[in-house]
Amino acid sequence: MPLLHVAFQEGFEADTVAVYIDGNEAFRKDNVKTRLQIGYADSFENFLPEGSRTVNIVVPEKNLSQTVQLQLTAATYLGVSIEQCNINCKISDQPFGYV
Amino acid sequence: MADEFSYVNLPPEQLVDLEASQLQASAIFAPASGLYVSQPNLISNPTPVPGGSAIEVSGTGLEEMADASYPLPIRREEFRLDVDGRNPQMTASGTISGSMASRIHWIAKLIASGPSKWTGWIWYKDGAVASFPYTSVQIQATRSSIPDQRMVTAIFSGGGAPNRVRRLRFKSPYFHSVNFEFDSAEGENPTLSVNSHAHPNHPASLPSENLTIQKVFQRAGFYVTTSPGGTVPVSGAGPNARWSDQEMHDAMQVYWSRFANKSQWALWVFFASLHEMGTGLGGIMFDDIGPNHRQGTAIFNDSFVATAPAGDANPAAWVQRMIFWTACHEMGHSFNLAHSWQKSLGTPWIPLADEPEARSFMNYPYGVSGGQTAFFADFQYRFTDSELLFMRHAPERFVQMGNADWFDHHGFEEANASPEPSLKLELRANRNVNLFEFMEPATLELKLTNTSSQPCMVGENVLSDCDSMTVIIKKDGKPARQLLPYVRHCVLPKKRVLGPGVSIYDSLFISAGRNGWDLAEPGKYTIQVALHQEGEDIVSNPLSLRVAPPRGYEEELLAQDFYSDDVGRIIALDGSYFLEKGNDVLQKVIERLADRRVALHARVALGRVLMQDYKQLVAEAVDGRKSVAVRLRSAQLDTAKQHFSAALYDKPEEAAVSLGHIDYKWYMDRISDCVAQQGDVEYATRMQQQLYQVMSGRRVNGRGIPEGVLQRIKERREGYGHPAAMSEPTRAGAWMFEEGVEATTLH
Repeated sequence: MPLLHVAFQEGFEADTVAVYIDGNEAFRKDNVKTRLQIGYADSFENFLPEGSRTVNIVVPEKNLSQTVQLQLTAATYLGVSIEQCNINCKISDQPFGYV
Repeated sequence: MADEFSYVNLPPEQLVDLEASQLQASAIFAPASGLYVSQPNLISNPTPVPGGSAIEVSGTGLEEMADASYPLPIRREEFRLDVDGRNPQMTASGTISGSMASRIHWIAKLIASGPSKWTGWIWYKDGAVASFPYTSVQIQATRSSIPDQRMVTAIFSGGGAPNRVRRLRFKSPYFHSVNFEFDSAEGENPTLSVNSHAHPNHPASLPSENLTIQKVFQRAGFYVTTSPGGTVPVSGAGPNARWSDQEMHDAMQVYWSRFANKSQWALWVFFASLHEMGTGLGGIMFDDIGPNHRQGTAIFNDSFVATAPAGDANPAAWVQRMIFWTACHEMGHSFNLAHSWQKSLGTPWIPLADEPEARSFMNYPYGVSGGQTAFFADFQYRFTDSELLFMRHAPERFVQMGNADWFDHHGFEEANASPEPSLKLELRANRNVNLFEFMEPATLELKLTNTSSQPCMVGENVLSDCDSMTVIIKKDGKPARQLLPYVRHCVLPKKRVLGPGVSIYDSLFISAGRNGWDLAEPGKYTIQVALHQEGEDIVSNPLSLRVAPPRGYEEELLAQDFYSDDVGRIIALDGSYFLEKGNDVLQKVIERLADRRVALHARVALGRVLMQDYKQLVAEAVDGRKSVAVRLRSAQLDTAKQHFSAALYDKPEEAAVSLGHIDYKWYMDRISDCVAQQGDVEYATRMQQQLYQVMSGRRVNGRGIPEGVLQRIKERREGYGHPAAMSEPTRAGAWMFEEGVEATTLH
């Protein structure tokens, strides 16, 4: 089963964040906050069955939500940032690096 | 530290990177950039010298001008001239140190006006700026191949003050000094240098050289010294041998030879294997711990920065360059530099533009278009101009390690201010001493004056339109916060003419906003406003005020409920029926803290909603179906009058001080109009009579209320006998308070 790594990166300000994968809650955490010197707030990862996966990221206090459709065949890295009142996602097949 | 880097004391390795011909330069070509300092022997008398020049300026080639009547007892003056050498910013800046309370920092943008001459407008001031009204500076440098003979003469002018002339002697080609110590965990090697051509992907114009970290920061304007490095036992990282931030902070305190709990131009750089986050973290400025941030930074040799991309032409050189870059990047954070794409975040004083494509040590190579290949193809091993401007010229406390908190005042850029501003913005409190009681909501006053000789157009709502204004609130020892008002007004933009010498005014509630309560805890605050007008920024004076500590247990207890979003909104919006919990808190304030100023504000807020019929949108179920309806709640004028009598009428002086003149008058006008409409003309007339008495007697720091305002109070009072003559009160008071500055000496 391929790895899905979800990293919360820029723009989190002590927010509550929830992530649903195929409708099931996979992550929920309060006080998710970006450390500005590395542009990283938090992360989690799951091994999931290959195939199409629907990932829904919700930041309820900011009334923000974003849904990403992923075709999981190999390890996938999903970077999630809040920018200009939107949730933006970037997808990579390589781990993210922070400095 | 400051005296360690006089030019004459520079060790040979520091001279290597100076402009090549600096030592042997002829007088004509010798660089002028560097640090200059005042000559105490020439400023022997700090007291004003009426009508005379305090220093000799003959022979400078500049027109001789009278010295300013300068009120501060000068101890030391530093002057940084940045016009040539590597990456010149065409900037001059200075720090005038009297006492801590009277320190002044200024920055000017320069243009060349002749050989070794520059002229510039002062776009940034910090500190005791009231003592430094100047808007322009003229500079002439005396170049010489002999450093001791280098001088600058600076003439400050504008701002309505007599010119101020200063002659300063050359001290160093660097703007600041800094000390680095490079320590390593057991078994780890520090990467302190790189060959700029070792990797084939580099800019064609990049000179081939062995570049050290010290040289990078010398080129940024620092005189760099290096303390001997040492080894840190890996046991400090605990059983997992991976370093947490706290473990590194502990190691810093033990192994850094210069560690001190204070701000200093010194930095600990630690090379280790891995952070506890794993290979995904290449380095971190870990020191946002404790009271003195940004003193320590770490680089992880075995993280992702040690893995070259597959197929790279020279993986070893790629890795060395990446670790070198990471070290400079983390050290840049210690100078309070943000990532290139984060420049607009946090609390830069003047809004910064993000630089997501910058080829800077502060940008991620793999984050730009084209990835790290594109980045290093253009990378010149430098910081951007805005970063250099910050490191070289920002007030020391923003940059120096251990001083401002991480990301607090990180970087700034030039306000888009005019060299000859036609508008002046003043921020003030309507009280002789800027002390606010604990829990007392703070309302300040803005005054915008046309200081030019020509009429100018300004937006009719320029002082009440929060979209055109940036309000920064900074509590001592805490990060600055931007006020985010609860309400934005959408109005059709309209212009009005502001005549020469004419001022407009408005009130500004600063205690709370969408950020929460910005002004609550006891302590000292500094508030500053930037008004964005027609592409130009008009920056106010920084206003210092203090919030007093609570008087007792009752205040502390009530404060826990008072500092809520509901109460903030009720106070800011002059009342609400909807926010019932907040209203309950305000009622308790009235009952338990009746003699405190906060009770006055509570009464105004509770009274305002009772003064007239109030429409409320309510959700209800009708025949089992949900619907919304508008319900009208009738005015309760008698109860409102009780609140207003207690708040405004019984202690009118107190009300004028605490609400501010503009809001106090506005409330009085609204209430007296309302009761007059209800037929109680006598009550309304008495209110206006009292308003006149209070306002005509007000003196704040020698200023009185403009005569035109008093005249309009009289007219309103007399108009109550003649309803047709009554006018609708204006909330802002902006144009109501319009007054020619030249027409009165009182404000």
